[in-house]
Amino acid sequence: MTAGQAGPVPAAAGREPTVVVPMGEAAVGGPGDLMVIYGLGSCVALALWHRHTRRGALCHIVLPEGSPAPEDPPARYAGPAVDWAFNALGPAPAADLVVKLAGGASVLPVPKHVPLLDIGRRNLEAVNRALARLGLRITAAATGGSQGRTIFFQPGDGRMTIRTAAREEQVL
Amino acid sequence: MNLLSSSVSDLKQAVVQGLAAAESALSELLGRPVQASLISVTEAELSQVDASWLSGDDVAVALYQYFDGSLAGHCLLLMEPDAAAAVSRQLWDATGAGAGTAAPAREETDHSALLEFGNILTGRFLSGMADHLQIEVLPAPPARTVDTAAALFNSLLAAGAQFSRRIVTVAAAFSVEGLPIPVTLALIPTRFPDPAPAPGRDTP
Repeated sequence: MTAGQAGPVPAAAGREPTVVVPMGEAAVGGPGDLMVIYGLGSCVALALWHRHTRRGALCHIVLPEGSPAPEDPPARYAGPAVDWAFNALGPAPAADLVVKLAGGASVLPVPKHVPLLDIGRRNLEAVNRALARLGLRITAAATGGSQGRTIFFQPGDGRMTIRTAAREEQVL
Repeated sequence: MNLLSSSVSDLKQAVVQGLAAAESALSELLGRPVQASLISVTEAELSQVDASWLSGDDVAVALYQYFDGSLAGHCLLLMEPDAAAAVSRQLWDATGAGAGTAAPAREETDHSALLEFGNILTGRFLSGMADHLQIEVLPAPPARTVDTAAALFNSLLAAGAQFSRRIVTVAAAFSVEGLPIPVTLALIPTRFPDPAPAPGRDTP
């Protein structure tokens, strides 16, 4: 798509992303990485950051729940995605982990009568349940609303920068 | 007939008939000839959607339309902001609605013009496809939104992923007196007219 103006890399980061995390995928980054999720709508970005090792896992969660298939990517569903991120950072006490969330918006103006479409809200609820099961608490979040978000996550310092279509930036 | 079990040529025929129906209705709306041309039609796994749709911060104007009937699902019409502005201008010219209008009211007129355009384009497109496939489709009124194309597509795919793993994407252009207005239509059917089970297996 070539619509509109493609913006530069965010001012907060000032450099090219090293890891792009597509829908349903998850990845681990180190201190030198800049990880990105483009165009988050109803999906949820979960960043789990280890404050001592300075490694971080970023998940692009699509759906609250379902029947995972072997070929599914690790973050298609909320519960398995949270488990994946937790395990990917190795054994760590909850106190060493920082949890940041973004997304879960209602970007499409879907009629209220359409069944089971409040995906953003349901995704956030499912992620919250999965985090609580592991004893993890959310440190910072920018969720809900009706605007899409692009997420930049820097495992070097755990910073998450959020940019909207209106070019507004927020740092968590 | 199941849309996504159709052969590619059947699907393309259905799309062509849908575009012809939209072309005719838009000509009537604008009071001048409109020509629709099909650029491409693809049917793919949701996970195989062209990555260019899901990356970057390009802004798009979208008209979302849910459709029900024997075939149900989601339809998203995406336009570049310039194309959307061109549509509004064409409708002003045709109806005189924007003449001498102050900026706030003009924004409202733009909004209404796009809704009218989208309602006719996607509504007639879906009806034309349904006629070809001999099924019933009942489009709901469309709603307009503006965001990054990636966020819009992300939300459409997530909505569809609950019930389906397939998407149909149509790239087309509508020309009004030589001015091409490129559009992209993305359809994710979530309920099918055939007794055969739908391809999706997720039951949130």
